[in-house]
Amino acid sequence: MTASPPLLAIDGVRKGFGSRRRSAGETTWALDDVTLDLNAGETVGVVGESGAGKSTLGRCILGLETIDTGRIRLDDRDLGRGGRDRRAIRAQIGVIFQDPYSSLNPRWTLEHSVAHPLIVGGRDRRPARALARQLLDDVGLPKEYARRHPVELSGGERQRVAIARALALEPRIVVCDEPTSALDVSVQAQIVNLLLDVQARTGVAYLFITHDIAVVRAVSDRLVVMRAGRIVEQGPCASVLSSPTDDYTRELIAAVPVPPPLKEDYP
Amino acid sequence: MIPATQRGTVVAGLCVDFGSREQPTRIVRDATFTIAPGTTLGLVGESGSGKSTIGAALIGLLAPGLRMTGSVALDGTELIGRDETELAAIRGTEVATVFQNPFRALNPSIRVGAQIAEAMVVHGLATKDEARERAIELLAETGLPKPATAARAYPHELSGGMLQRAVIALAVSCEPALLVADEPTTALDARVQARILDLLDRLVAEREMAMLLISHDLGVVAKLAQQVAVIYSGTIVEYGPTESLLTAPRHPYTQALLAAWPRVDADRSRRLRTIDGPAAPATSKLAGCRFASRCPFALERCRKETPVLEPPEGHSAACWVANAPQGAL
Repeated sequence: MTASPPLLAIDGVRKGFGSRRRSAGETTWALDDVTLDLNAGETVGVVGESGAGKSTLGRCILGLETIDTGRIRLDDRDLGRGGRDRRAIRAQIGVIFQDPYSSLNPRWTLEHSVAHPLIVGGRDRRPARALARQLLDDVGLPKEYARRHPVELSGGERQRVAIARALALEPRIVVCDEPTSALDVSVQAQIVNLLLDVQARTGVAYLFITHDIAVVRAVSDRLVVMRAGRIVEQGPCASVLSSPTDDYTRELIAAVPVPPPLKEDYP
Repeated sequence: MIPATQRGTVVAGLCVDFGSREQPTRIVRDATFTIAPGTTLGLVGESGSGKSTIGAALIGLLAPGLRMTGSVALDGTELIGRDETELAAIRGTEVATVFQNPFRALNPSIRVGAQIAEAMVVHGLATKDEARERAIELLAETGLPKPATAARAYPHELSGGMLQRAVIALAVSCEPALLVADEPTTALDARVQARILDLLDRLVAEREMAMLLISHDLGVVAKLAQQVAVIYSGTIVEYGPTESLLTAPRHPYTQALLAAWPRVDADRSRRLRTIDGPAAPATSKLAGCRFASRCPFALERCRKETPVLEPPEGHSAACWVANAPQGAL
């Protein structure tokens, strides 16, 4: 990596939930001293079990949670402060959630769902809609889908809409929180490929949160393993998976059952 | 004593229909398989393929309005054609089930041990006192560290993994011939999943149960199943020994499904294989092979004649192309 500052710098972040008795030192931290960089155009996979803090990390980056201590900076600008240009900074970070059934407004057309962030961002409706149609086309949905509602779509199609919406403001980072966990294997493959294509075209960086180690292998340059709010291991994806140094990582990888390798490649 | 030839689960020509009797809509077509005692059959398929419907049929818990025909024999006991009273007696003793979500499988307001004991009392296998003791033994058998404490707990007091052990204890309490496990570890974390899979594997062997393991996860199936059936659009398209089926699949759908499976050891630069087009709904009436519209190898014949699965011995695929003699194409 170059010496230029990272796109996103997470530094010593802590986040606790619920009533806190700080004096007694009893706080359980959902995030505990998390330090992590994300560079432009790269994908960092975040893996761990339920309650490890993966989603909380994503939500803190998105500004959906406030952090207790530490700093999250985008281009050296503090996301926690932001002040007047907070919205402009936030617009550079998009999000794709796990469940495409709850992340889209059922009463809006797909075109409106995708155009909405643009309109909120101050664009005129007509060009925003035109751009939304283009974005829907970019994620592989046919033209006639623009006027449809989420109920008419399969899970994979909905996730394509969510991707189109996440890309609407041309973010430099997209937080993907289990984007394929609700999908079938063949659909998962389509969505993973789409995310890879989008990245190749736009140079967006992904923070890819998942419990699925095999999926993370397909998308990530670097891998972060979390447990109980802490990062227990991070490094290049291939080397963390092939030669993990942390006991927990080793246990996690060993626990995943894998099908035997195919004897030949299928076209 | 059951004759050796009748032991295990024998499913033949199982069909599930709904709608009018004159013009039924079929959602499971002619499912045929056997599961020997002490072995596991993995039933693999994507959403809407009918895998859970087959599971529900085998425990006589089809949704209202669904009808099944064909034959399902559990250690020689025929399931089809039974009324609800007879099915209630069969459920538990001949066939039991483990679902995906253990919190929904148990009654939240009854202590875990009491729910396990109740099954044995209802089936007349134990008195109340015996059943209570037996419930604790079963919880211990499933590897819960403090079985007596767990028996006194309410479901919400246990973690998902612990509760799934309790559900498994309940399922095996009346010594069923067949255990239907429908995505039993899908809601669990990797390390908990690994331990639950080990538990199921051990119980199947020790208790000489047959297990139908319904899963979308090829890794889970690879770990537990001796035989695998692949279901697509309501039809079993491939059947065979696990190793052979997962490493050298013969049906184009299975090949595509396995190629789409992300692998930890894969090269990062390689895109995942996808399957073009939408899956044919299990309800659709189609001539020929149901995968033909998405199949890169489809021939004229595939769109007209329905390929059949050879009687399930060895490794077979319901595919005209795969079954054509070498050089015939």
